[in-house]
Amino acid sequence: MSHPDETGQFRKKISILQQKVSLLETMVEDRTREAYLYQVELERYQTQLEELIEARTLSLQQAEARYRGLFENAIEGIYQTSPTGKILTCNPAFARMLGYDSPSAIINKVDDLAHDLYVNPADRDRLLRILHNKGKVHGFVARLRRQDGSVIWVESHCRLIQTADSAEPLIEGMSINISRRKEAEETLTTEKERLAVTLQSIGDGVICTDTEGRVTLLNLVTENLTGWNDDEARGLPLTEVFQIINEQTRQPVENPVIRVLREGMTIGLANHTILISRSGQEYAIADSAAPIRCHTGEILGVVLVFRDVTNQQRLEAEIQKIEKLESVGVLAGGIAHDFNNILTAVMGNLSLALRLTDHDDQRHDLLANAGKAARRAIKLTRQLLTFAKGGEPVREVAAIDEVIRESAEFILHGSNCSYSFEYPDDLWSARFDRGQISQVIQNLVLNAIQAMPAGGTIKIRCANQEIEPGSALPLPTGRYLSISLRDNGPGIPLEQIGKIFDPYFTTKEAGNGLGLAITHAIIKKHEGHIEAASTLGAGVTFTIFLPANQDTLETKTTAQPGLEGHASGRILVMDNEEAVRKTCASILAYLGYQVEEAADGREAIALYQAALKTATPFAAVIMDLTIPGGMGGIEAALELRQADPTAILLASSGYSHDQVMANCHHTYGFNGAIGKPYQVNELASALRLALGR
Amino acid sequence: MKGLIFNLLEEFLVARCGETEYDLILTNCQLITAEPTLMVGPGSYPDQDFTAIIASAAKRLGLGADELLHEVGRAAIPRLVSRYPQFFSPSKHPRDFFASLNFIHHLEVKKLYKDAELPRFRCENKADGSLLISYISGRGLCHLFSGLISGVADHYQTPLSQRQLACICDGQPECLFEIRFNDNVP
Repeated sequence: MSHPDETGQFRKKISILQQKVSLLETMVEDRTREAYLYQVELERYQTQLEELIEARTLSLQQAEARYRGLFENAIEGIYQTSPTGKILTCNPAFARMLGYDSPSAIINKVDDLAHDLYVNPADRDRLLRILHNKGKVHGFVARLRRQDGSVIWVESHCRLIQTADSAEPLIEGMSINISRRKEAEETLTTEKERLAVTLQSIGDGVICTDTEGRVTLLNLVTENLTGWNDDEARGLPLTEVFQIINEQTRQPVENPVIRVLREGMTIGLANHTILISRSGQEYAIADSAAPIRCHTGEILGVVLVFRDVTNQQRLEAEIQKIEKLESVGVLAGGIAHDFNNILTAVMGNLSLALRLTDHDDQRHDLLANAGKAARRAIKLTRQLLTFAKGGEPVREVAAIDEVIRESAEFILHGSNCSYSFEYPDDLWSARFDRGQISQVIQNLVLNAIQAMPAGGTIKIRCANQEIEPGSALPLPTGRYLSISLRDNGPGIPLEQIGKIFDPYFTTKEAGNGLGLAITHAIIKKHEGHIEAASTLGAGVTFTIFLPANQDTLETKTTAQPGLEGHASGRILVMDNEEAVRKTCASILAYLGYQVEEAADGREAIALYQAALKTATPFAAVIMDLTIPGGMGGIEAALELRQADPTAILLASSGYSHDQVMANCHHTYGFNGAIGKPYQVNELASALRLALGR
Repeated sequence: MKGLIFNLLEEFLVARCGETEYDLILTNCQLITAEPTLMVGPGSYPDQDFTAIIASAAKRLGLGADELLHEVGRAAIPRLVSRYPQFFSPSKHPRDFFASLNFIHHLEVKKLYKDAELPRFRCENKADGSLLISYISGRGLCHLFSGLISGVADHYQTPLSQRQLACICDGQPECLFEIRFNDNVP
């Protein structure tokens, strides 16, 4: 039997346990209810999940179909290969690209990509090495061989992938046939090369810039003119490479690139623009700048084209100078003509008066002095006429030694150089322009003086020389006068001797480089030749060859002495200047002729034709060539020659060196010529010669 | 706090000093729960009641509260092993058990006690072989956790030494324990 306290304790525990059980049962009920709710919710979730899985499965199937379509219909070749070179899968485009009907055909045929497809199997090894190092390759270009043997260029993009069913990583990628692109690139490269060569061959300077005005390209001419080469200049601002200023203000010219970008059109540089090279050398340039536009019209940059016009400007200045000289020359020629007419009256009358005065008469010396002064005036007039000429040489048969001596002495006057002049007595005459040949001698002597600032000797030697066939000289065979001029200066270096006749070539600081060029031109116009030879330290020798007078091969012309006195016959004098007519008539009367006068050609013809019908026709006609406002001598001579083919016609002109006078015999049918002014003996001699007496 | 913890404390105190003494301990407490003898495992009860019972028991037993909590924790492991043997695999090492603490609490305990407010644990194996365990809980029962560590060592018969490096009670963000295993198993 248990103790009452134990029983109480036991009952209490039982009670506590019962209460705990009750609590737990309540909790279990609550949890069961919760569990049911969870189950319902779970079932709902399951349903949703199943629907979701179904939708996802459908979506995946659609995606798979879509991607399969992409794979099958892709234009690019897509493939998966093994590292050993076996094609595991590929799309139809890949097969087509390599000339196979289907993916299976190429997969079955190709066992070793490196040797079956690659033209150069080493390319495949290179691809694998890159893949091994980097895991992927972009833009790998190689040549592949198609099934028919043709070769194509292929660009590949691929990577290594690890798949669950392969121990080794596979290669997965895409390839594109870029053969056409390659051809286009090659064509483009060829075209670029051609353009580059063209650009470098252009005679003008060309500079291209971007829109920021930075140099992107320049050609060889630009390199030479600016002193910047292409590599150095690229990226530099244009203004650093292409420094231009205004010649007159010396202020910088506005950057042409900025102007082109602002105006959007081709522009030209202002006149008087000077380019300053890197070394400080200045060039006169002419240029234009134009925008470079792409096919949409957007400006991509600017191209400048320019050329060195320094020489051209010099030439233009020379031409202007020559034109000015020519106009002054025309004026001088007119003045000389008038002077000659006046001097004809003065000189003719003086010479006649002198002949009519005894030597003992004190008036004789006075007349002789007046005659000397008149001769000096004549000489001055000749110089004016020489200056007035230009261009084509007006040749006359003359003694060249006189011209050489006068020219050399004129230049040597006041210098510290001496000269010697040798020529044979039988020196042939030549037909030459006195003024021009004088200029040649003066140029050569002046050069020699300047080459010997401390003084020296100039040796001039003339000789007759016959050019035989096979001669090394660039001259036709025949007789020539050779004129050599030798100094004992420092000489000319061998590398410069070939350039000394080039225009603007000079070794002198103040020289314009035209002297020898003009000399060369003058000799060439005389159908001659000039050459130079030099030994350094031993001076220079210039040798000129001028054709000798082929017609007569006369030696120096010597005037026949005048034999005034008892001539006879009727002479018609035609001149518009009364003073000239009267002087001429007086001289002719003194010589014994009967004289008629005419003021112009028309009157002369009438008188001549009238006299022809009489018993005493005119023995000769002296005609002035130039009759202002009337018929001149040339026209009148033609008519007279028609009327009387045997007429004796003598030309007379104040332009004593003009072309008609030089060619009066051959071209215009005159029997002789007499240049104004003239003295008694000169007129007598010319008239007697024409009359054949 | 779940009734399970109160039950483990009750079982410890009854075993230590008998039911009468336990009743006296409860009597001397000012508890919120009206019927503390009716606490059941799945039930939830105020944290203050747990603190009050510990304080009363410590006083009665002449122990410090921290010391008592350590003993309660150490003694709890065998009881938990008998109730939930699946969490204490015989093949596991204490290191593995500690590593699975978050899993056990946050998945398995939640299944049984859905509204349990659970502490969080973080383990870090150090290069020297030691293990750092942080215990993060608003209740601040780090001494109870320390006892649990000792109980786990007893259960796996793996000698270890533990040292508390930081405590939430000192204003630290977590309670941090360093454990060194003396069985030469890494």
